Order: sequence, then C-alpha cells, then structure tokens
Amino acid sequence: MLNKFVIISSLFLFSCSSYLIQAEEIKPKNLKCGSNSGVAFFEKNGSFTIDDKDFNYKLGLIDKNLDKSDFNFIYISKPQTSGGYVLEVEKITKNKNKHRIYFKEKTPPKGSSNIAAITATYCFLQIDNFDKVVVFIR
Amino acid sequence: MTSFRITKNLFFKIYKLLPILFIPLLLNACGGGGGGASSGGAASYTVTNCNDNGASSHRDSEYRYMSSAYHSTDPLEAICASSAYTRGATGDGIQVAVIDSGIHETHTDLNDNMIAYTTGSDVVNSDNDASDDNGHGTNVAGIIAAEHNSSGMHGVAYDAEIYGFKAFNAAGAAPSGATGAAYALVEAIGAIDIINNSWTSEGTCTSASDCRSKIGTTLYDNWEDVSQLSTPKISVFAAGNSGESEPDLECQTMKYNSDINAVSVCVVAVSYYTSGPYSTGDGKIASFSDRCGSVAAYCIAAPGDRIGSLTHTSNGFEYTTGTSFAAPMVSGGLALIMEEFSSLTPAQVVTRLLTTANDSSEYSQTSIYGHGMMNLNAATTAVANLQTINGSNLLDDENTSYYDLANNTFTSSASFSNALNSALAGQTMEVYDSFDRANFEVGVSSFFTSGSYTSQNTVENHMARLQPKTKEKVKHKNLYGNFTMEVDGNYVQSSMFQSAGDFLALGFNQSTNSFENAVDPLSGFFNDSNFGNNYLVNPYFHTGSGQDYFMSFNGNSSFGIDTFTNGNNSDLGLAFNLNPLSSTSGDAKYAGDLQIVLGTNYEQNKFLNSSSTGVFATGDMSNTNFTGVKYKKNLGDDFTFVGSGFAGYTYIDKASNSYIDKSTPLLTSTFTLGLAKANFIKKDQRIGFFINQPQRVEDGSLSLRVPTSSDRDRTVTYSNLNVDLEPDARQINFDIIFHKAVTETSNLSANLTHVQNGDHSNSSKNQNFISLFYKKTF
Repeated sequence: MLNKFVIISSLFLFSCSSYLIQAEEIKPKNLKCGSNSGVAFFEKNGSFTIDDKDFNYKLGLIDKNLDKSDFNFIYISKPQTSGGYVLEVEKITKNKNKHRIYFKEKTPPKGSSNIAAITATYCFLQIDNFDKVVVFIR
Repeated sequence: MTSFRITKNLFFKIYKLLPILFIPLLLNACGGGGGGASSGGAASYTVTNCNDNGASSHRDSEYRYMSSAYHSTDPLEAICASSAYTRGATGDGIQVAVIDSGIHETHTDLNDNMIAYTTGSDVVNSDNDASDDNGHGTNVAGIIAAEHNSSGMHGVAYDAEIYGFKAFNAAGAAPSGATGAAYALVEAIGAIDIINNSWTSEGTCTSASDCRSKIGTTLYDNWEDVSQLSTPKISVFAAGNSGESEPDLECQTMKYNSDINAVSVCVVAVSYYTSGPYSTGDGKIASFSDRCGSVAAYCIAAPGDRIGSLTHTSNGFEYTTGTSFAAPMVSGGLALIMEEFSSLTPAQVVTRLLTTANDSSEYSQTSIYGHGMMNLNAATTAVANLQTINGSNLLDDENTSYYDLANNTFTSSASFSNALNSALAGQTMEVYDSFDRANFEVGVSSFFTSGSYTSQNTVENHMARLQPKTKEKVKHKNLYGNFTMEVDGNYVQSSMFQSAGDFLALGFNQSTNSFENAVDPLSGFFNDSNFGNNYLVNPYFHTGSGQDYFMSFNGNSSFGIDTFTNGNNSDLGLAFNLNPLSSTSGDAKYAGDLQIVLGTNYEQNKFLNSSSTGVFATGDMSNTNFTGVKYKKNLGDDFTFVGSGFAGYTYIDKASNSYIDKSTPLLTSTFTLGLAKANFIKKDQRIGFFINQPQRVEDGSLSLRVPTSSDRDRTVTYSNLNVDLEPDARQINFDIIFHKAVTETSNLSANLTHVQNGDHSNSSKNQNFISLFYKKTF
C-alpha cells in the first residue's frame, strides 16, 4: 500500500512540475560550429562532454588555438558525402538539471557546388552547470 | 548473357579509344618521311600492372606518409609515383591552381611551394586573402604538392607550385557564381597549367546547354575558355561521393564539349584502406565514390580513401576521404607527366595519362573506372617505339622523319674512341615516343660503340700470332696467264698473274695489303693474321673483306700500285708504292728496303673505318689522304732494323640531316720501330724488340648538333656539342718476341707484350701478356 502511494505521488509530482515549471531556454556562453573533413575528427561522431577523453583531441583537430576551458560540450554529426552541410544550434533548454540541445543540420541546396569530401559538421559549446545532456537533431 | 558481354566489351573498347582518336591524326601529321617510323599502336596498348619500381631512396617515410597502418598499399605506391621520381619528374616548373576552401599557405610542409595569393583570390569574401577556414583546400594542396623536405609527408608532385583560390566557405559550399569567378581568375594567369577541382554539383545533365545551365553559365563559359587557350589549362574534377553509377554534373559536362573534354579529367576514388567502412582495402572502387559511368572516356581512378595530408589549423597532418582527394592525386600525376614531357601539348598530357592507366582485370570495367587506375610508371615510360628525329625542328611536320633507336649507331675507331667517350660522358639528347612524340632524354653515348685496340689482346690472338707463318707458293710462277695460287690450309683464296721474267706482277683478291705483306720485315716472326701484321701495314687500308688488286713492275718491286674496295664495293683506296732502295740491289746482304707510300681513300658512311648509321651517319665521300714510309736495313750479319710511320689527313663528309654537323680535318699517325737479331745466344734462335703506336688522332674535332629540348608548341631545339677527337694519352705497345728452332720438325716461340695507355687512354690499366707456342710436326 505504501509502495503504491509513493508511486502515485511521484507521478503526481512529475506531472505537476512539468505543468507548473516551464523549461528555461538558455544561451551558450561560447559556441563554435563548422564542418570538418578530417577522418579522425568524425570517426567517433556523437556528443562529447569535457570528461570524454576524445574531447580535447577533437578540439585540437579543429583549432589548436582554441582554449579548452572555453568549451565543455561537442556535438559531431554523422559524416555526409560532401561539404555544404551546416549545423546550427537551434535552442538549448534547461529543465532542472537536464539540458536539451536542439541542433539543426541544413543540407546543401540542390545543384549547389560543394567540396567532394566525406565531412561532418560539429558544434562546440560551453553551457553552464549541466549534468545531463540530451541532443536533438532536426 | 553472352550477347550482353559482347556488347559490353565493344562498349568498353569504344570508350577506351575515344580519347585517343586524336592519335591517328597526330601520327599522320608527324610520322611522315619514313626512316623507320612506326605507328603509334595505342589502340592495342594495354597496361597490366603498376610496378612501383623507382629507386628505394624515393620510397622514404615522406612517401609513405599518406597511408596509415591499415592501408594495404600506400597511395603513392599504388600509382607508382616513385618510378616517375626516379626518371626525374617531381612537378618542378608546373603550376597548379586549387579552387577550394583556400589554403593554409604557411604550413611548413607547403609554404615553399605556394605562390603568394593573387589579387581577388578570395572569391568568397572578395579580398586577396585565400586562407583556409575549412581545411579541405589545404588537404587537397598537400596531396598535390606538399614538400619533400625531410619532414612529414610529400605530395604527388612535390616540386610543383600551388595557386590558391578560395571559392568555398567554411562549410565547404561555394556561394553562387564563386567557382566561375575563380575560373576567370585562373584564366588570367598564363602560368597556371592545371586546375584542381575537388568539388562537385550533384545532379544530371543531358546536353551541353543543359549542363551549362546547371553548373552555371559563368563556370561553363570560363571552363570552355581556359580549354580553348593556345596553351589550354587542364581541368581535373572529382566525380562525387554519392556512390552512384554516374558522376556529378561537372564530369557529365565533359561529354558534351570537345574543347573541354580534350583537356579535362574526371576522377573516381579507389580504396586501399582495410579498416574503414568504404572498402575491403584491395584497391577497388570505394563504396562512397561515384562511378565513371557514361563519362568513362574522360575518367580515371586514383586512391581516395583515408589519404593523409596537411591540416589548416597547424603544421600538422590528418587523414581525409572522398573523391576530393583522388582528384589531387591525378592533378599531381598530370604535373609529373607535364614536367617530364615538355614536348606534349596539354591535350596530349591528358591522353597519355588516360592511355597509360592500368586497365586490366578489375580496372577493365570502364563503366566503373573509365580508363583504369592511374599509373605513373607507365605514363612516364615509352608507349611505343622511341625514335630519333632526323634533323627537323618540327615534331609534327609532314616532312619530318624519324629513326627507331636501333637504327642510329656509331662505331668509332680506337684512334679517337677515348676522346669521344670523354666528350660524350654525361651528355644527353632527346628522342621521341612514336605514340605522341613525348620527349625522352637519353645519353648521347648510348648510340656509340667504342673501337678498341686492347680488346684484340686476347690469349687466342697472341697464340695465333706465334703460329708459324702460313706457307704460300705460286704454282707455275713464270707461266704467262696462269691465275692459280695455292695456299697451305686454304688460308687465302686468291689468284695471281705473273709474267715471265718478273717484269710485271698482277694480283687479285689477296689478303688486304698484299703488296705490303710481300715485303713485311716481320714475316719471320708473325704469321699472316691481321693481328700480327698490324704493326707495319698501311693503316688507311681498313678492309680485308673486299676485293683487292695490286700491281708491281719488275721483280724488284720498285714501283707498285695497291688498291682496295670493301665488301660492298663502296670504299675505294689507291696507294702508290715506291721502292727506291731494294735489298736486291747492290750488296743485298747489307742493303735496305725503303718503301714510300702515297695514297688516298674514300669511305662511304664511314671515316677512319668508323661506321655510322641513322642520325649519326656520315656522307658517302669521307676522304683520307695519307703517306707513309717503311724501312728495313740489315745491320751486320745478325741485326735487322725495321721501322714504319704513317700519317693521314681525313676530311669527314657530312650527310644531310646528320647530327654530325661540322668537323675539322683529322690528322692521324701511327709508327713502329723494331730491332731483330738472328743467332741470339745460340744458332737457330732469334729475338726481336718492337715499339708500336697504333693509329691515333693527333688533331681534329667534330661538332655534333643534337636535339636537347622541345616545347609544347612542338618545336625542337638543337644544341651543339663540340668533341675534340684527340685522345688524352698515347698507346704504346712493347713487344719482345723469341723464336727457337728446337729441331727440324719442332719450333718454340714466345711473346711478351706490354701495353701502355691502352686505346690511347690515360685511365687504362697497363696490360701484359706472355704467350708461348710449341709446335712439332710428326
């Protein structure tokens, strides 16, 4: 009986908080997006936080002059067959300790001229105080 | 199924032949005049292998840098670049434009090969700073021309120079009109030879106008313009990375414009990377790469999966994948071919690249690989016969004729071969591939064979020298009209007419210099072999194979005429021999024999017995006027002194179109001194000492006029090569000869020969020979 109550209570509270507490949209402190055709850069594509061992390595492949303290999150998209793809951060929301980052990757216009390399787009961000990150791509 | 294969094969062959349809026209234009010219033979030309056989010094760590641990074959090895490097092709002097995302021009592995950004070179931002904010352009430039500087990697054409044009932004996309604008900038720079385009526009076009519309009218028109220049610029395009059966728009455009496709190449990518997602690492088409499809006639394959190159963010290196990186492989390859063959037009450079691709086995699938896998070994090797050009300075003129290499020879006399060898050492000249008249460099000396006196110093010759002289006797000596001469062992086939009373002697077909042999003072020592007799005979009568006539008046031979012709009756010699002193006059025992010789000879396509053919041929009437003296005198009862000396003055007849352009008369000499003693220590023992100088040029020179360079306007430049024919030393032979009659039926002979400065060369090692001969008759 007690167990049931707890569960119901939790559901109620979650529902209540979702309803009562709106997700906060935040701006990254630092943001750098681009594309790269270095194989090592996108071999392990996905999201990397500052704790990932590949973080600094990937950062160095983009620009050795970048200050590692300026970023704490990378997202690298899956490789594309040409250049011309553009990755943008559409918005970042924070809900309690969970950050949701919405990326939008634009495909090159039909018939446009683009470099003929396998490339991946990326964004480097610095976001304050995040514990969990969920990435959405459009 | 069978009928499909036949159709498909025919289809492939047609594509294979399309780009070389020019060749028959070219050969018709330039192959005239005979002289051994062979047809191009390109239609049947098949390249089965890419053999990366360059010097190991060219396959260093920089050569391997483009590959990783998971490559089955290094990219540069796969295209056999080291073979081209060994032949001297490094891209030096060739300038390549890279239309891309800009270039990291200060990269330490590229900066020395970078041309400073030109005005407006950043088309994206409309400024003069074509720096790279994406990395792709730097990757591409590195594959073409990263330096060979003992650090990191080097590009395919590591001495080529790079122009950077930024037409792509940081995202790798070209703003509208940017590529066309970049082409306009390239068109304005005459020095640019090749344009690398590692980018594409996806889509399909079905006609010239359709393609023009889809790739952009500015790009199309400017591409056409650079292709129509008097010296067109070669355009290289990546095929695209969609893994489709047809390449992207730019490659498709090539099909519909003959001016463009004559100097344009489409490139698909193969993979040697064993660990990636795009292949099994066996050099087959990478899964991402578009195929050549209907553009096969202008298409070639090159490595494009995980190619190491330069980064734009530092002086570092990274790996990249895509047809983007196969294209600069080909641009670099074209730079090597272009540098190696300065005689080829840009269209011919493209044709050679495509024709020499490895098109066997897997690569015979033209719908995938077009002409096949780029092969820089075959591309820098002769496709057909190498030939010399016969004096003309126009490679394609209908009156220009060519000789196959084997038909150009010069076999020199040892009287000047040492000087000739020294003068020709390291000298080079051009010969031409009958396929496209690509110019190849060869050593001038490769056509020359040295005559040698010392080569005659064989054991066999020395032994033969000591064999007892062949006995000759004339039957019916005094019978008028008898033409028979009997020779022991059938040594000489000859006939003689000798009148009664020894008043007149006529000879026919004796061994050469028969008249002189009759008074050879050494006949007691040496037999009749040429080797033995060379010490005293007239050196200006060179032949022994032809017909020989002599005539002498009265039995004392006080006056005679000696003639020769060679086997072809093309050489003629005439000598007058005067014998003012005769051992038969006065006191024969102590009298001397003196013979004075005056004469002249004419040699056809030779001089001083140096024969030549092809572009080194001499004329029909090289002439030598000569004089000589031979003297023998008995000194006391046992000693005999002999001496001879000859000198000649040779005028070389120049043949039309011969590379032997001019000459001064050649003064030559030879001499022999000897002293013989009979009853040496014991009766029936004889000994002789002889000093001899073989024929030697004392003064005179040749001027060779050889082709040494050629230009893309198909003209040849000749250079003069002056050859002083006087050797740097004087050969002297020292001989001691001993003869002993052991019994009436047995003889013992010995000969010690010391040769100093053999073949008149101060670099020759001295030679010493000791020979013994014992003969017993049973």
